[in-house]
Amino acid sequence: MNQTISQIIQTALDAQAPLLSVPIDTSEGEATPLLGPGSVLDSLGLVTLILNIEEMVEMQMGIAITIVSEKAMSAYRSPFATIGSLAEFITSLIQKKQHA
Amino acid sequence: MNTLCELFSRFEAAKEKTALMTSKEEMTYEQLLAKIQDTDLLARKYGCDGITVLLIGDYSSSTIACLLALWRLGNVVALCCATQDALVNARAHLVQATRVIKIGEGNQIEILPTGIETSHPILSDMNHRKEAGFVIFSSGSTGQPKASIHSARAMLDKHVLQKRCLTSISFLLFDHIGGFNTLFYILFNVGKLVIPASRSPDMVAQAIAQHRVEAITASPTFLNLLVMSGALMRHDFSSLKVINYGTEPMPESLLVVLTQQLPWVRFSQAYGLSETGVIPAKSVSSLSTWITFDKEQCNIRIVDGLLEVKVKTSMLGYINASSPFTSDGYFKTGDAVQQEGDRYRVLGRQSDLINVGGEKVYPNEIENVLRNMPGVLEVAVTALENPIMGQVVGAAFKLQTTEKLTSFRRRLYEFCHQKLPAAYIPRKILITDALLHTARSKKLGAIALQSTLIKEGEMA
Repeated sequence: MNQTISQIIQTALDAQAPLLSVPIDTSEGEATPLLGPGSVLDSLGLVTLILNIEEMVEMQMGIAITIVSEKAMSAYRSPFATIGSLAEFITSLIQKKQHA
Repeated sequence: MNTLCELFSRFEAAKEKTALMTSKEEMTYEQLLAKIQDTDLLARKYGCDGITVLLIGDYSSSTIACLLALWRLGNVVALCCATQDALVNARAHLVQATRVIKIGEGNQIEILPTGIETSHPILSDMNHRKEAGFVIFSSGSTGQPKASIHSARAMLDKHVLQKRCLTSISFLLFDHIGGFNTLFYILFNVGKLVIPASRSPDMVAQAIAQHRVEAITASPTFLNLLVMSGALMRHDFSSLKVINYGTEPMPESLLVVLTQQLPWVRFSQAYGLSETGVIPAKSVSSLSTWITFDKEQCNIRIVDGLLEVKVKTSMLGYINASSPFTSDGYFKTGDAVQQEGDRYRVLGRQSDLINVGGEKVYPNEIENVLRNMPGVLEVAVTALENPIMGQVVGAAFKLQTTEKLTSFRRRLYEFCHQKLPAAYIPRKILITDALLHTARSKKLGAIALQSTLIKEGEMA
């Protein structure tokens, strides 16, 4: 599932390319930073990314998830650090939904 | 009611002239006077004499005759165009109407006692003194509408001064303060009121061409529909002299298109609220969204960026809410305005303001830009709650042709990049076939739009 989620994140990042002054370099794959040093996303960029991902997960997998929660915001290791950490976090949200 | 007598004497002096023109009937002022007399007798028979009445009907000879006869008998008349039983019943209770008067499709008048007692202090006092009045319901997007009580005298007095006699269409409904204002403009100047068979763009356009209509009062949303539907190109608008618009902010892009397509028409913005009546104001020019208020007839001030007005046509009070007036008699409109000298520009309802991480913007400012994007037929913008930014901009689009959300989003972002600050760019996008305006040709309210974006967005 991680592969599908990573693909969704990649598509969501591509979607906002026209709004970014510098394109997001995803050559590092899952290690691509999303927030913090080395990232070009600002808070609005992150919001857009999250909204797009939620929308695509719902469309492609039929599962409604809410990515931003108190848990996500207060996690010791931010799920928004890299593509990989976000994919992992989203996968866990989906699995929880599936088993609920 | 001297002004009402003056109105009837104007009818008498112009008795040969056509007062009303519908697809079914044509009525002269003489016939209208006769109808008022008949209705007067009927109303007396049913005890409509110093009471509160709920009048159900849209523009027709019977509705107008009924209203004027009821006023002559010193009644307070609550106006309602909706005919659904549950709604009529709820409104009758809200205004404590002792009679409901229904005007049927065939113009027949039905007077029904309700068994309700009028106990509201303002209404009881008016009924006791046989003071003619009217009640307007505000179009609240949720919950119960607010009912504002007005004295008829202030509305009538406002129109006594003779102005141009025009053939007009009031696109706004009979129970809307703007529609009501247009009606009395026409009656006091013994003009002709044209009532189209329906409020669809083509029907209205057809009525304009057929009856050589000179003036129309409409909402920007309807004017937009006229452009989008192609009705503006299909029909003859050469008789039109003036288009008054109001009820919501006018998109500048639409005003440009309209003035290009109808260069001989004067465009003028009307401003008012159910609570204040139409406030004397006019557009700086046809192409301008700035207005000037007639300060001899109203007092204007801006407090914390919001407009407050003091005007004779203001309501006496709400039936179902506490007084919204300041201690010195100003009404807080809740509309944010910009001021430059004696010119004002209405930005929108303060409650519609979108706050994206501290950057504040009105939906109208964003819609003005998005409407120019190729392929966009209609767009409505609203605030969406967001845990990171507080709020973000959400936008629902109606497009000319089918387009996938992914490709539309990319196109939208490319379009917005140089035209809007980042905070103003829609982050939640919906492409929909659903109407983005209400049955009254007004843009969807923020709450209805938010729920569309949230519910439909999940399926987009």
